[in-house]
Amino acid sequence: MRLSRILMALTVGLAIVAAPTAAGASQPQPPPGYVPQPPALTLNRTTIVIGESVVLTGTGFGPNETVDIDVSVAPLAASVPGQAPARRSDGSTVAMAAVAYAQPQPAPHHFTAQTNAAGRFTVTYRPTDVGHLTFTATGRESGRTASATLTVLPKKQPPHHLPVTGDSMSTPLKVGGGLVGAGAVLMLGSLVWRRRNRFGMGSTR
Amino acid sequence: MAESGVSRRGRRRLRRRTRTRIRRTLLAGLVVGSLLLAGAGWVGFRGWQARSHLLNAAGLARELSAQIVGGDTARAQRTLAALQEQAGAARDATGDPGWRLGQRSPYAGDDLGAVRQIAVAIDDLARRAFPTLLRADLATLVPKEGRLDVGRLRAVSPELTDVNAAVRETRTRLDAVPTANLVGQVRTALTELRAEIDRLAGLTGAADQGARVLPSLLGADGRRTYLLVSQNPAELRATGGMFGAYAVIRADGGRVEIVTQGSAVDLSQFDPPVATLPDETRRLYTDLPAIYPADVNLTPHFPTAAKLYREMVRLRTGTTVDGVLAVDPVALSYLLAATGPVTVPGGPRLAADTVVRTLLSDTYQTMGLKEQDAYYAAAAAAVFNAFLAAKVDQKAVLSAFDRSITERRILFWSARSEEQRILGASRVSGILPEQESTPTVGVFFNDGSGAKLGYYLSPTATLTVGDCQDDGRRELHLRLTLHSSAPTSGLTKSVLGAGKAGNPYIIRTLVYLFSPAGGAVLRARLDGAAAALGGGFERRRQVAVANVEVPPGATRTVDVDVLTGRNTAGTPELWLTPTATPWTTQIVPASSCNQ
Repeated sequence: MRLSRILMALTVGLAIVAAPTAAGASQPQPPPGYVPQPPALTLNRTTIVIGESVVLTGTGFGPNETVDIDVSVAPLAASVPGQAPARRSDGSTVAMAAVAYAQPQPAPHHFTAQTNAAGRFTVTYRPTDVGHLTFTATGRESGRTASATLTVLPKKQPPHHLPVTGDSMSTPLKVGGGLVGAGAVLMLGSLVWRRRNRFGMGSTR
Repeated sequence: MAESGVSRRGRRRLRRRTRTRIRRTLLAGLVVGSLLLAGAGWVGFRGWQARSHLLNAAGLARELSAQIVGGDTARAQRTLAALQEQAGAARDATGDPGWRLGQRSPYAGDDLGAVRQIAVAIDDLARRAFPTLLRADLATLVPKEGRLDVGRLRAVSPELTDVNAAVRETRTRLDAVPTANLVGQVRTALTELRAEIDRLAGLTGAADQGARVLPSLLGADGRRTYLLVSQNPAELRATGGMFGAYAVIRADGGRVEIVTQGSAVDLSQFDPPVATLPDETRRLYTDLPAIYPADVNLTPHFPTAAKLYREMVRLRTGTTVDGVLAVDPVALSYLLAATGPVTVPGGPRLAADTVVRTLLSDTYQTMGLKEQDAYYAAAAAAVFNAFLAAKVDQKAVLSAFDRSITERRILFWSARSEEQRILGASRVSGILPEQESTPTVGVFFNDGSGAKLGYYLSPTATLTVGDCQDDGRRELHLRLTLHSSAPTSGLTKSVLGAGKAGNPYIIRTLVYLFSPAGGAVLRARLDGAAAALGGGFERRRQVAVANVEVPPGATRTVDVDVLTGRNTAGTPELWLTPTATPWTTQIVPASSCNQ
């Protein structure tokens, strides 16, 4: 009775407060503008390996306007992009060294894009930084801003597949031991048998 | 001839010697063999004894739990005594030197060890956990007329803490028993016992947590006020649904009552926003959560939503509450299954199997705005009375709450940090953890059509464990489908709402895909083609946002690849927005990476 009673106590408490739920489902529409919009700046992939490129697509900007795109980089360890720059003890920030992969020019951290008549733009970007890259697009006339975050992973080690070794060698060892034992017994047996046979043959002669 | 005679004699002697040797070897072999046989026989005999004791114990444990739930204390005491005897005997049978020696033998050794651990676990529970659960007489704790005896609850709290600790200890020990090489029967027994103890640990954990935090929450140390909000899954939000009506409830010395009721619409909108959101949050949700009460829970992290809503209510009404409790109509349907149907004056009666439809679909279709409000108020009062008056089936109510909490349909946030700490990362707290040992993939829905079409949406998810990476991460593949059973015509304006997707019958859902903590979302495909993904970060998880628009009768499929964080193991889990039509989910595990 006890445990259930405690839970019962818990649950009835909740039940009491749960009752007005019925009232909850009712609501007239809230003021318009509350409906969340689909993302205005999108990527074709959210994580890439350095050396690959990503396609940025912006929608809902002004027609034929210039859109400024800023890129901020945060290290992979810090998951909050653009929030935790590395600092020295004197407070100055440490520049993140870009890792270049057969790309002499580091990728720009600021560039622009031009929208079409429908307020849409597409650009391809090939990062030279490993980390979390946050793209912030701002329309020069419309003032519309949108952002998206990309994770750039370092280049993978050449793939090598570890053999599946099993979590313990005991079973193969046991089987092997058993086989060796059985083999030894058989060999001894055959030795004895052959000896007896030979002597037996000798005695008949 | 002489030579041959000598050699013949020598051969004969040799033969005799060989025979003696063979005889000795055979004798020694026989002795060793019979000793081994005797040993095996003894262990086998003890094993047979242990088996029958364990079988008896298992039967008794089942009986006991039935009697505990059924409230038959006297018989439960007798059952417990018998259970202790059987469990003790099983422990003895598996504790003698022969058995210990047997545990070191090849092949059967780990089976014997596992049986021993099973016997020990059952004995420990029978001696340390069950008696306390039976002894603490909580009969007075059953609430009468909406009042709980918080003093008594507080008194039994330390005992529950002990029981919980004992159960956890047992679970840890059992988890350490390797299952890989066990024979089928022992493995099955062990797996079943583990599952049983997991359930028990869930119960004792909840009871311990509840007993520690409930007295103060229910006003044992002074009056408390809370916001009770109902989430409306007809218009989906990450934690379940748009916050609709709210009630201010007061708890004082264990008595709970409704003070006032209000609607999210009364709160209108806030300019300037009620809070400056962190950049991370704004990138994903813009400023909407701090402007509109309908958007506070665009984030799946319930404490953020609760804090914003509390502030909004404070600004409009001047009431500062001590916490926020959120529930949804599906949870109500589970409860109605326990109480039976409730008659509502001036409208359709509420029954378990129809309440979701009644509240989330029919009412919008058949009633005007004023009628809806009157009906909902009457329904609330009727359900409230039914809970206090009806003789409810405890077992059913328990399972209803258990299910509601498991499905994250009941969420609670306390404004006091010490109480939040006790609630921890339990499901009821709705905290999206920043660290995790088992990878969790989050799939959250925010309605983007501005309509009440969520009732027609049915989601499924299949999570498949994929390849191991060199750095200890692992790839996971998620297949998500969204099906709409909406009609193509005939719905009223109050259902169709803003119709942001163009055709007002198309359900536009913004799907927020959360990577495991410290992990990454790699890519996503919508019906096989690369999806345009917005996104950012929240609480150490990469988030990708896809816009999925489902026409009536159609199904759309999203395939997502994610990476786990570095130091996680075990079968991954899904964290989902609870929907009006419950999810169909499947998780396809794989063997661990270090095997």
